[in-house]
Amino acid sequence: MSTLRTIIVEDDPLAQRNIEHLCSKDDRIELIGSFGNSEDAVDFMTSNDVDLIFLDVELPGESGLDLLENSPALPQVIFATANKEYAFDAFQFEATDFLKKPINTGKFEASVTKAMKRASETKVMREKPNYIFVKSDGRLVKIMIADILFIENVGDYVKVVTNSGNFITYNTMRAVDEKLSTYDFYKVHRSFIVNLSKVVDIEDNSLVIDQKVIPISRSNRQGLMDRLNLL
Amino acid sequence: MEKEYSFKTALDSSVLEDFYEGDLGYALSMFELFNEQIPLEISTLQEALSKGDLEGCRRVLHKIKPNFVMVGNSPLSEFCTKIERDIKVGLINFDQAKPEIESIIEEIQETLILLKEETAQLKQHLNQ
Repeated sequence: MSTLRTIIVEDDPLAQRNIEHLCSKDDRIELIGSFGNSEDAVDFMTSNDVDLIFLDVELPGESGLDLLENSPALPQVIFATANKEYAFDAFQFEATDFLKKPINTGKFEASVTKAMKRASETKVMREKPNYIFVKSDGRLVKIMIADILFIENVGDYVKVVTNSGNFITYNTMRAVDEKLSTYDFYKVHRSFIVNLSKVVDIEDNSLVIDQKVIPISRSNRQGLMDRLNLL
Repeated sequence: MEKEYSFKTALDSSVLEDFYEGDLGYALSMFELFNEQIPLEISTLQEALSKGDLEGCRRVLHKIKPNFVMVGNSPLSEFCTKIERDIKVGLINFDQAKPEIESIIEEIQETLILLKEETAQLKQHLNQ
């Protein structure tokens, strides 16, 4: 099971120990630091990957909210404060949760469960980038997946057709099909892979994307129907 | 396995049992830390009071108020919350806040006496 690399930012020693103890009992948490002020925590975060912060708001010097504004890369945040009035700030910073001190085991575990869920969703997003690089004319060109209209087979090459231009690259349709299989693309013909979100019209054996008529092979028609968001 | 233990002092034992869920080592470590830290916070509070520093008083009250739940004195935590809020929204001025804060300090000191007894008993129990 993966763990959340966690830090605590809390100036009160009792509250800090309260959270440290709960972290030590939860095998989903890897506690990598406890800090009594915002500045030390920001320094730590510039050179360490942090997945989760238990953050107090009222701190000596810069507040917990300043930390969120100054942080180089914002991890998940669970606010741990003595005042409910900070709940609005928690909402504004899209905090994972808001805990009122002192924190008991049940509330702590529920918050960590939320953080684990959010972390797994983020991981899925990270694992699936919203772009690809295509080697074309001797250089690697970054293309946003959402900009691709369709891919057409042209001999030993494939042509990636986008809103902003076409890119011809040495590749096979099979390789491209595999690469794009987790996105909203479908191979409608041995020579065409289409971005389903760009399809504007479908007839029996053809579809239209950006005024281009693309054939649908008989063997792929049912598969296409299954992938469409039909009413 | 830890032997059975009941919190013995006048502190709210049901709050303590709920919070520590039978983890007596954890309870002892928190009590000892409270006994060590709270006198320092009282000094800071007294200093702010002597200087007429109402915002300084408020900051200390804000910082320490959750701690009283962890030693079985939830009403003191609630009272600190009320005074802190009244100061923050300007409901009370320094002269009005001063006697309230002095009574908080008195109550904290009484809590410390009770907690020291409890700490000693708990330590003895864990050493048996």
